[in-house]
Amino acid sequence: MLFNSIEFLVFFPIVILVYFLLPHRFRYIWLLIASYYFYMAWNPVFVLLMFASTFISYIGGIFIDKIPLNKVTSEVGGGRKAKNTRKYIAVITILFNITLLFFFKYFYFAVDNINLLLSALHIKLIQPQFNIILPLGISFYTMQIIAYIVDVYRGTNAEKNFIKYALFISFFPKLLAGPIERTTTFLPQLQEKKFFNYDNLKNGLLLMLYGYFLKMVIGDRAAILVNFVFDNYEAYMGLEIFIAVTIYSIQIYADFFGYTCIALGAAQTMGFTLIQNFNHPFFATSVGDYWRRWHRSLSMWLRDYIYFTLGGSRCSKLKKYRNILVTFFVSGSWHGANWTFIVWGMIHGISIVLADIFKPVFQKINTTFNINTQCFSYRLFQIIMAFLIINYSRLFFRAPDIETALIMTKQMFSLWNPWIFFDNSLYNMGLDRKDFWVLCFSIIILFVVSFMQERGVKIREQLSKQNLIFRWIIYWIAIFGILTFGIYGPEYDATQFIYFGF
Amino acid sequence: MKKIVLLIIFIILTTALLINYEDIFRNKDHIYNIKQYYHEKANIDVFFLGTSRIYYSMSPMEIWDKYGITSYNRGTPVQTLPVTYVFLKEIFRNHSPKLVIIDTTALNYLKRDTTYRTKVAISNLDDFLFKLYAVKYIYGFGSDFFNNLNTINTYHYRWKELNKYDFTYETYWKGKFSGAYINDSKWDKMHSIYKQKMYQNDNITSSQLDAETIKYTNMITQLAQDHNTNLLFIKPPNPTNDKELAMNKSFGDYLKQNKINFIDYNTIYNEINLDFNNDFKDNAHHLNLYGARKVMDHLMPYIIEHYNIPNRKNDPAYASWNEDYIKYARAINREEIRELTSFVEWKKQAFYDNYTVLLSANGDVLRKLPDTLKNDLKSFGLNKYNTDKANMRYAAIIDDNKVFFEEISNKSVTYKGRMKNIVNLLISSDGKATISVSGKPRSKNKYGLNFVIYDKVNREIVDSIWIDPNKPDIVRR
Repeated sequence: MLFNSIEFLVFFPIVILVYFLLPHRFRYIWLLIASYYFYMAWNPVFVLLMFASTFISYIGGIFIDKIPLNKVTSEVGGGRKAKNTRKYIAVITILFNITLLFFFKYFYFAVDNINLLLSALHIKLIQPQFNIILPLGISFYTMQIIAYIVDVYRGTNAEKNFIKYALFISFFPKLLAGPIERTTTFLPQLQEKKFFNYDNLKNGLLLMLYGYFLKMVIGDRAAILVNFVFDNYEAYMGLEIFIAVTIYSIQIYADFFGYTCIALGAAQTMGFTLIQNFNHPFFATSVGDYWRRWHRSLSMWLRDYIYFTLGGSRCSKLKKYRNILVTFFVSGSWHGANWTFIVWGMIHGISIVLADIFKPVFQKINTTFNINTQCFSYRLFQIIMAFLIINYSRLFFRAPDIETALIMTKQMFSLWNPWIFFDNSLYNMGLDRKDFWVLCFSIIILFVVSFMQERGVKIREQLSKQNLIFRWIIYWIAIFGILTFGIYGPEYDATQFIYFGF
Repeated sequence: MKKIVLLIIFIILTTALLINYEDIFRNKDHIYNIKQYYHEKANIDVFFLGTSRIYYSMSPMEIWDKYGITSYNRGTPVQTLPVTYVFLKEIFRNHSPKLVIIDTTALNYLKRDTTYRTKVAISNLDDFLFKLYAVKYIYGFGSDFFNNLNTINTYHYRWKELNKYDFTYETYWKGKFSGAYINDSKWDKMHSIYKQKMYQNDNITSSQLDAETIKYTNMITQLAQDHNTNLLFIKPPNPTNDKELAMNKSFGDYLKQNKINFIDYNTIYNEINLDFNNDFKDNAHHLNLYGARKVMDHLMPYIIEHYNIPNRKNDPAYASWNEDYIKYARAINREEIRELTSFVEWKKQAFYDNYTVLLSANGDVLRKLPDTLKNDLKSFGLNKYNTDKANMRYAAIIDDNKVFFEEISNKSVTYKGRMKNIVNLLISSDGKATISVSGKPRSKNKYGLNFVIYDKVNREIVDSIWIDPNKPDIVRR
C-alpha cells in the first residue's frame, strides 16, 4: 500500500480510530494486524518471508539473551563456551537474514558479474530459470533485525513478547523505507501506554501533509523532468544535464524526505517517535557533514555496525581510510544491486578520505591568504562545493549503468550553454512551462522551510500560536495546493517512492 | 473536548470546500453549461434528452422566441439509454415537464465504447446523493466506485486549463446547443456548411431490437407515466443508411404498440425541406443552425398540437427568458459574424444592436483606400478618412451607431479612456494599429484597416478583422 494512494487515505483513519478506541493491552495487536495488512496489500506472499525473518530473529534473540552476559565474562572455562554459543546464534541468525537479502536483492547482480568473469574465461554462462521479485522493505527490516541481534548480543535485553517484537519489525509507517529504528529507541515505546493526545494528532497530520507536498508536488513533478532527460540523454548537453541531475538530487530528497515525514507524522499521531532521518542535507558543508544530515538512521547503522566494528577511526590513518571506504562500499551496495550505486558510494567515501588527507593543505591556504572561515560567504562556499560533489555522484545513482553515466558526464562538460535559461529550452525537458514554474515555486517553499528550520525556527509551533482562522486558511491552502498541483491520478504517472526499491 | 469539536468543524468545512473544489475542477467537456441547469428556477415544460443529434437540432432559446415554449436541452455527447434514464430521473426531482423528447440515435451506440462521455455526464450531476445513486446504477459498486464518484483524482490536472466557465455559467443557452462550447472549435460553428450525401430508401426492412433497448425504453416509459409526463421519440435527420433506417423502423413499430409517438426525420426530408447541401455543419453529420431551424419549425407546431404545450411568453415567471433571448441572439450573431469572409456581408452585421466598433489604421493606408471602402466608412457615419497626404494616422470608435471618436493626423492618434462596460480602452494609430480592451490587445495589427467589434451587453469581443485596401472585400482574421 502506498502512502499516496486512496487505499491508504481510507486505511489510515480507520487504524487510528480503532487504535484509540481499543484498550491499551490490545492496541499493539491491532497495530501488528494493520501493519501486516499494509504489507499484504502489496504482496500477500512476501509477508511470509517477513514473518520468517521476524520469527527466526525473535528466537535467536531469546536464545542469545538466555545466556547472560555476566556468565560469559565471569566464568573462564564455561564463559568461553557460552560466549561462543552466543556468537554462533548471533552469526547464524544474521547470516540467515543476510542470505535472504542477498538472494532477493543481489542474486541477478552476482550472476551477471560471475557470467562476466566466466565469459572472459570462455566458460558456459549461468542462466537462472526463475524470476526473483525484490520484496518491499526487505533492506530496511533486515538491517533492523541485524541491529537487534547485535544489540542483544552486546547485552541489550531481548524482547520476550513476540507480538511486540513483530510490531517492532513491521510497524507500518516505517516498514517500507525506514527510518531504520534502533532496539533501544523503539522497543521501549511499545511498552508505554499511549494516550490520545490532540497535539500529537494535529502535529502528526501536519507533518504528513508536508510529506505529501514534498512527494506529490515536488518529487513526482521533478521525476517527470528527470525521467525524460535520462531516457533521452543523447539529446541533452551541458547545463541541461546539470539541471536534470540537480533536479534529480531535489527529487530524491523530496521523495525520501516526503516519505519520512509521512512515516514520522503517521507514527506521531499514535504517540510514537521515530528517528528524524533528515537534517537539511543540502546545507551540509562537507560530504562528511552530509552523511550526518542525510538518511541518518542508515548512517548511524553503518557507523555502529560496520565502521566501528572495523575499528572506526581509533587506528592508523590507513586503516581508518580503509574503514571509511568499506563502509561506503557497503552503503552503495545496500542502495542497489548495480555498480552505479557502488560508484556513487565510493565517490562519497573517496571525497571524505581526500578531504581528510588534504585538510592540512586547506588549512595552510586559509592561513596564508588570511581567509575568514567563520563568515557566511565561506560557509556558503563550503555548501556549494559539497553540493557539487554530492550532486555529481547522483548522476551515477540515477543512471542505468556506468557507461551511460560516463557519457552523460562527457556531455555535461563538453558544452557551456547558458542560453538555455533564455530560449525556452528548459520547457523541452519533459515539463511544460506551467509545470516547470510550479516545480520552481515548490522548491522555493522547500528551501524557505528548510532554511527556517536550519535557523532553529519551529514552524508547527509558530503556526500553532496564530489565530484559528489564519491557521485553517494555511491548512486549506496546503490541502488544496497538494490536491491541485500534486502528481497523481490517471492523467499522471505518479512514481513509487524511490527508496522502496532499495 | 473543545479541540475535538473544532477538529470536527474543520473536517466538515474541508469537506464542503472539497465538494466545491470538485465542482470547479470536474471536466465539463461538451457540457460546461450544466451549471446553469442546476440554477434554473422556473419549471420547464419540454425536455430534450439524447445525443449530439438532439443538441444540434433543438435550441431552447429559438423555440422560446418563436413559440413561447419553455424547453431545456439535456442532450450530451454519445448519451446512452442508461444515462438518459438517470437524467430523466433527475429531471423529475426538480421539474414537472409536460413532454420529454428523446433522440433515438442512442440505438446506434449499443456496441460503442462510451466510457469517457458517460463518465463526464455522470460526474457532472450536481446532487451528491443522486450522483451516488447514478454511479452505483451505471457502474455498480466495484473497485472503481470511489474514482467514479469523486473525480478529483481524475481531473485535478485541469488547473492548467481552467477558465471562467469552470466557475460560472451563461444563462442563455438553456442546456446545450451549437454555440455553447468553451473553446472556439469547429463544433462551435453553428453557421458552417458541410455538404452531405442524402440517402433514401423507400423499402426499409425491419431489424431485431436489442433486449437492452427494449428494457430501457420500458423503464423510461414507466418513469414518465409515473410522473404524468408524455414521451416523444424522434430521430433527428442525418445522412443515414439501411441499418439505421431499419433499426428506427423497428423501434417505431415497438413504440406504436405502446402508443408512444415517434418521428423519424430521416423519412421526411421533403416534408421539412431539408437541404443536404446547406443544412449540415460538420463531417459528423450534425445539423447547422439553418437545418436545426427546419426541424424545430416542424416539431414545435407538432407538439403544440399533440401535447397541448402552453405559450408562456407573457408569463411573468419567465420574464428572464426574454432577457436571456436577447443575449442568445447576440451570441448567435457573434457566431455568424465570425463565419463571414465577405466585407459586404460583414459590415451588415457589424452594427447589430449597438455593438461598439473600434477602427484603427495600420501603415500609410488612408490615401490608398478604394472608393468602395470610403463609401463603407461613410455609411458608418465617419467623415475624416479622406486624405491625399502620405503617412496619415487614423482611428475611430462607433458606439451605439454614433461616432464616439474619430481623428486623423500626421502624428500619432490615440484615444485612451473608458466607455460603458469597457474599462481601460486604448485605441491608437501610429504606424501600427493598436486596439486594446481591458488591457488586452485585440486588434490583428495588420497592414490596412483593423476592426474590432465589442459587445457591451455580453461583454465580449465579437470579432477582430483587418481589411487590406488592395482587396477590400475580403475579411481577414
